[in-house]
Amino acid sequence: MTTVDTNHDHAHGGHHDEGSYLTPRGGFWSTIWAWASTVDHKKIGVMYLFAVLFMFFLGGMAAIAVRLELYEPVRQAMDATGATTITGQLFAPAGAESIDTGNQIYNRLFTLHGAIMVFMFIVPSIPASLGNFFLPLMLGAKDVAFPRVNLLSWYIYVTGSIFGVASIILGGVDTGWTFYTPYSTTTDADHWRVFFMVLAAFVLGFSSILTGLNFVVTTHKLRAPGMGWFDMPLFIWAIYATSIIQVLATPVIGITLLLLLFERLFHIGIFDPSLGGDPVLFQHFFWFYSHPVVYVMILPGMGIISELLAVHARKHIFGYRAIAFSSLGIAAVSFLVWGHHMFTAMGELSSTLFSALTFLVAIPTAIKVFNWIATLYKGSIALNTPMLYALSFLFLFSIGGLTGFPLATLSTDLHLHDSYFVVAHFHYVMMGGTVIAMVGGLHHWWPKMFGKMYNETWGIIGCLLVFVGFNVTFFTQFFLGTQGMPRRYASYVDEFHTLHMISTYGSWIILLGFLVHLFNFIHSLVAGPKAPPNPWGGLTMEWETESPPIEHNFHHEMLVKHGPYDFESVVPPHCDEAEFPLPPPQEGAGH
Amino acid sequence: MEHSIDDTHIPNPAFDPLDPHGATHADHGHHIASAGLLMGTLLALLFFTVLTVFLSRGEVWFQDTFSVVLPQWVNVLIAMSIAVVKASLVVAFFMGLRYDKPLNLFVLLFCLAATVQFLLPTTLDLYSRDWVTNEHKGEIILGGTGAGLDMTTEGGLFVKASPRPNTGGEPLFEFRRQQSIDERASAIAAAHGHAAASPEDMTQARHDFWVYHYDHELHDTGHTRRHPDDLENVFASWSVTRASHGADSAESVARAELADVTSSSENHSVRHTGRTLGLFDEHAPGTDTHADDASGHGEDH
Amino acid sequence: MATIDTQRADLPAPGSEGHPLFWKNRGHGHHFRSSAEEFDACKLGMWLFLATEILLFAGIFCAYTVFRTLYPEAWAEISHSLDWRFGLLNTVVLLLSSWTVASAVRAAQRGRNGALILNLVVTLICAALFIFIKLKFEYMVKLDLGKAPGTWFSYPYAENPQVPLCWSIYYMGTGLHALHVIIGACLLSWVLFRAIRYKAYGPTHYTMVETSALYWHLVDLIWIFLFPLLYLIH
Repeated sequence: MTTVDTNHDHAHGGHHDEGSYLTPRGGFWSTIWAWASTVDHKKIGVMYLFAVLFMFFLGGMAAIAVRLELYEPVRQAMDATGATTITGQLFAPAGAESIDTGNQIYNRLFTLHGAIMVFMFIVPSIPASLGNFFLPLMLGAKDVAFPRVNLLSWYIYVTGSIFGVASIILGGVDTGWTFYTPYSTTTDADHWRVFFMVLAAFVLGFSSILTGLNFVVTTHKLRAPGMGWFDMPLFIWAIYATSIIQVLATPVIGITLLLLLFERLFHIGIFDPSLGGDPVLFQHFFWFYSHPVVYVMILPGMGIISELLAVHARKHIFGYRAIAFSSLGIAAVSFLVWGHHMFTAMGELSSTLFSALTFLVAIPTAIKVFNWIATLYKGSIALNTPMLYALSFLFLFSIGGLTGFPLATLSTDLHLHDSYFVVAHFHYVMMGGTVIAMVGGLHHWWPKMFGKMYNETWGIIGCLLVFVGFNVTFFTQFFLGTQGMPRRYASYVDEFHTLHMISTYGSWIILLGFLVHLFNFIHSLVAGPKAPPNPWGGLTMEWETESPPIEHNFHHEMLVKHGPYDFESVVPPHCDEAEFPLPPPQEGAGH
Repeated sequence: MEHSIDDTHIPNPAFDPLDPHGATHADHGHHIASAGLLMGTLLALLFFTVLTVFLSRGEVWFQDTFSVVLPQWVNVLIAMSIAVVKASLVVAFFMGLRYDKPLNLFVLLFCLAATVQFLLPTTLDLYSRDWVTNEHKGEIILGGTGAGLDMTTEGGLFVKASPRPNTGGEPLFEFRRQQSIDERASAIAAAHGHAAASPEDMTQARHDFWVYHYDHELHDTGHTRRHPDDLENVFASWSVTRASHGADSAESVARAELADVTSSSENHSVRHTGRTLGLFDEHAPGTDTHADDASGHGEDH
Repeated sequence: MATIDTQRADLPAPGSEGHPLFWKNRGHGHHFRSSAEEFDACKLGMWLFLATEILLFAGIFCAYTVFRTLYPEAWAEISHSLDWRFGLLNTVVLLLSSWTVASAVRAAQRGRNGALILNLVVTLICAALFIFIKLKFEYMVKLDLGKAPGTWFSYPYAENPQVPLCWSIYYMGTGLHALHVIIGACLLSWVLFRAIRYKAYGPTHYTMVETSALYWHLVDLIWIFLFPLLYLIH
């Protein structure tokens, strides 16, 4: 890649006049302050990364606890003397007389798992951490458009998360993460914890809006000279589509939760039939945001997969425009389909309409998957951790997507709704899609972010553990769901015991896999070998700069001279041709 | 290389390496709206505002005068069309979208599209829920029955914040009506020196209530049209207060008395102690003493 | 970054030509290539923010549409106790303020600091007037009578069971709008302060004036729809 140097001509590497963004300036406290008051998108991205990973840890612990509770069915027996024995209930307080208390604890646990994972982890996860770090780098920009707004968004995120954690400390909520009325307006009437959890989601929405707004403007205004819309990496397209959804959908959750808070505090009646309101209206409001937000969760993951597959298979991405436009297509369709969460609540007319529209989602999604598979064809595939995660994504996300069909079909959904089939479906999409993509992307960009290589062997071991554990955990739940196991129950009939046990074993395997990753990353930070500027031979612009990047991202004003996926014709920056050989020129090669 | 949707990624022609901060560029080339255009826009907006009010009032007059009922969509269509025209004027000229980059217009249009997409299916669902099978009708069509308002909430923080009354499952508006009648009855009883309201007091109170209701709330036509002596008609209260200063006609004296009783804008408490005795006194939420009293209640409506 | 320490003692007096916040001395963020680009970016950002605001109000409008469709009689009852004359008055006040704020932008573009200040002051007066009318002649009178939202409702002469619900939507809609009026007034006050103290806005630097004005026009836009929906449709 050629760069145009407007100021002075440096040879690549060996700059000592401008340190990396990680280099501490001054003592301990001044470094802390420098991070806390930074407007550097890279530092904010790293702060976001650690914040969302902490939330992922909290939510993950709740998930492990949920699976532990489900390891055995809860049984309540009464002997001849009238004494009650409860077995199989993990969280019942000692000497409990009935299973109710333990079941309520279970309700709180799965609500916490859902609320934390959705609002505090998965929505901000990829865009706010990896997106924040790499969007300006990939665009060849020095920063996002509004750096201070970016920092504000992080603080709002932290504030919202503190409210969420406060709600947990106060005892947790049992409304489910969807806050459906009347659960959310009548339960725990003597406590502030539901208030805090709803407030947390409300505040986090602002953080999401500000991030999205910032990214849209950055993409429009700060692309490096020479970078047209179709010269952007596909990760940027995905983040751009995500940001549009965030900007257009998140305000609706704002007003929804505001109305919910007023309903709860002052009983204004908009969601209360006794005053003429309608609880189903809340569901409409809620899902108008929360369905598009499903694509806020998955689209950045899809963007990461596009990058991983192209770089680690050393192939020009197949169907660049199709993938780019399908991102926008998914964003557009996402606003048309929210009603499929409410098939059992709505009238037939709307249900039919929404069912038909829901199938539209399959088109852009399938376009992406087919293009990814075509990209792999005749690629020189490196089976390293990022690539294995990308392949896992293709496998798991396809299962997640295809099991959406029976749920979108009105007649089968009436049987499957609120069963473990739904649970398995969205975990295949959310975890098998987004989380897998995020961990893959984290491995891919880890050398760039922190300047250290990770241990490839342990990375692969971790990846395999997560992949196997995931399937053991959630594939069983498809069977549970079709056999009639409803979601959100602490107990179940004995017929489901084996499958639930297998599912719980799977959750332990996942936990083990993530622990392997965690120690691998810590080891990398402490003792990992120094990363070269471009370990994978990537062509996008973040690989042009040092690892980790210098404070102002690039030494030069960037000017784009080649596309992000021209692996057939361009020697990657900082790499020699022996390492990443170009294919022999062919008739009709290239794109 | 493709051309993009907007062209700002091309090295900016105004970018000058010798002057990277653009300090010497005196003019950005932004459109400056002329004063006449702004004033014209304001006048057009004021015109349309008056027009929409005029048409709305005219419609009321038309319906009253010729005793016809216009379909509601006429009213909605006229008011909303004028509102859209006014909004377009503000967006185009005050907000400058007429001269701005098309991108900003796209932002607005996408946002409006999302708004429509939000409103239409939601309204469609709530309106059409009982079209195919009746069991989906649910409570929404019958909403406001107050069926959920018979629960006593346990003590705690939210009981103070959320005044959820125990109406005994009655609709809220009927419960408030009964509350008002009960208060009249106890006031009458107090005036007669009884400890508790007798059945005669209740009858009298109910009579008083309905007389007052028909005098001041439901007016001569029986429609709920605004009446000049409406309790909250602040304009009427002003004219009454003014008239009472130089009053000599019997009518203005009467109106001044009415103003004292019902709608003095200086002292609301005067109005509270008018014919609706104790109606607006503070009620402690949850201290519902009328639950037992519901026997004779409901026969009036 | 063009971060400037305005407290330094060796700086020229605020408002003088040498002060870094004087409009001729304003640069642009280091990550932008020119101040024109920064201006465009800020304006696009503001429009996106306005889009979020419109969608925030869309929730209110949605609730309105749904319940108006379901309970037309209850809404007719509400409209009749909303006085169109106050609605009209407030509409005129807001339209006037929209005009003055547009003129303020024009004044900044032409470098007339005095006209900028004057227009902003008139706008702020209009904002205060709007809130005053809303509170004094509408909210307080209605709340006194018991026409309050939801279960606060204690007006004994209602005719329809859904009237308390309709009042809830009225208060949520107009209350949220009034909140936006206050936020907009705060933004404009900040602009006014900077215009008076630093002469911070001129032909090459008026981003803050422009974006605050856009926000103010949005407040006007919302009211343009709230007014007929609440006061005129019956």
